[in-house]
Amino acid sequence: MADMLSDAGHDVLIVDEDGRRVRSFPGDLVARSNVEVFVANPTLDDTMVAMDIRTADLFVAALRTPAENGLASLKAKMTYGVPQVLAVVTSDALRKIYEGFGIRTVNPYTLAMSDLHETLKMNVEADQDADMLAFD
Amino acid sequence: MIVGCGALGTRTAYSQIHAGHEVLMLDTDEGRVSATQKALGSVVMLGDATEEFTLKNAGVNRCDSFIATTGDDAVNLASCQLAKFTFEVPNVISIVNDSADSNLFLAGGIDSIVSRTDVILANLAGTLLDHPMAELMTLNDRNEKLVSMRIPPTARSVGNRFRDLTLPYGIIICLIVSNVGSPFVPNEDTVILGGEEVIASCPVEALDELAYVLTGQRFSSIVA
Repeated sequence: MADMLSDAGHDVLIVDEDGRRVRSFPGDLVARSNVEVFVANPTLDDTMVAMDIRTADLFVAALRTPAENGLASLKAKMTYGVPQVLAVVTSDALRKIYEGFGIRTVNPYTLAMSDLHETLKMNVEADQDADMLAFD
Repeated sequence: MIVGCGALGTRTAYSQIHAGHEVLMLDTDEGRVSATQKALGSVVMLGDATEEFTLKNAGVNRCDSFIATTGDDAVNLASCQLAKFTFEVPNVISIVNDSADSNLFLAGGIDSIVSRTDVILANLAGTLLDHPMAELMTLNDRNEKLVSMRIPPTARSVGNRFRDLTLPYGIIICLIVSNVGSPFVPNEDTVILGGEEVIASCPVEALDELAYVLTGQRFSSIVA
């Protein structure tokens, strides 16, 4: 997502408390002039203030767990008033709760299932086409 | 239901069990679950309280109070929100480890919070002889606090009856703790004495005025 947003010309700030993970980012991404990387716990107020979150147009929470994403995104939305907040949430129950607070959510499992479903559908259609051709 | 088998969760469970309540604890750490089982018996379940199915399997639907006590605010908030919004538990309480998160928890729908930092600060203030005010707890309706104020011997309120003071609207004077004798419930004719401790329930917006009337100091200056 950082790669995509940066390509589209946006200024991107990536925050992660795992220094090793940050160092494993692709070199060409980190080297871009519109990408900054910050090693800190993104759920803490001190970090949010340090990264000047009030000036952000979009906040994306994609941490390890839905609970961490919930805390970070609720804080971004309710405490700091970020206009667009997106959280990665794999739990359907938590998704409903966070959306009730105006947070947009993405469930990677649902996306993967949907992708899989589309792929299977295309394969079945291709098989049917093949059968029909054979029938002709 | 209590989330977290740390020292706080275990002691809370112990007191609730001895008060006659049915208690179930949840924790993700096998070692802590095992240790708590040894101490309290079969009241502990291994599981992640931020997962809907774990809470459902644990029987959260029939619990009347849900208390999150872990050292992780993300886990406390998410588990409490599931209990509140998905399972409609009537009374949801959370420990807040980072006091900066307190308002977020309340805005996020949690019924009551206990801030570790605020409790420690209140206890520290309470142990200092000349402390002017200590916050004891936030009351359920969120806009009121239970506070303790020590009356300085030189305060203008000393020697007055409560009926003679212009106390802010909404104040309930609950208890007087005197240096001599037992604590007692005051009435309008009780005379205020220097060195006494006044326990009162007070709307948050009136704390400043109450502190000024009783101690001669503004709440804001006390906090600063």
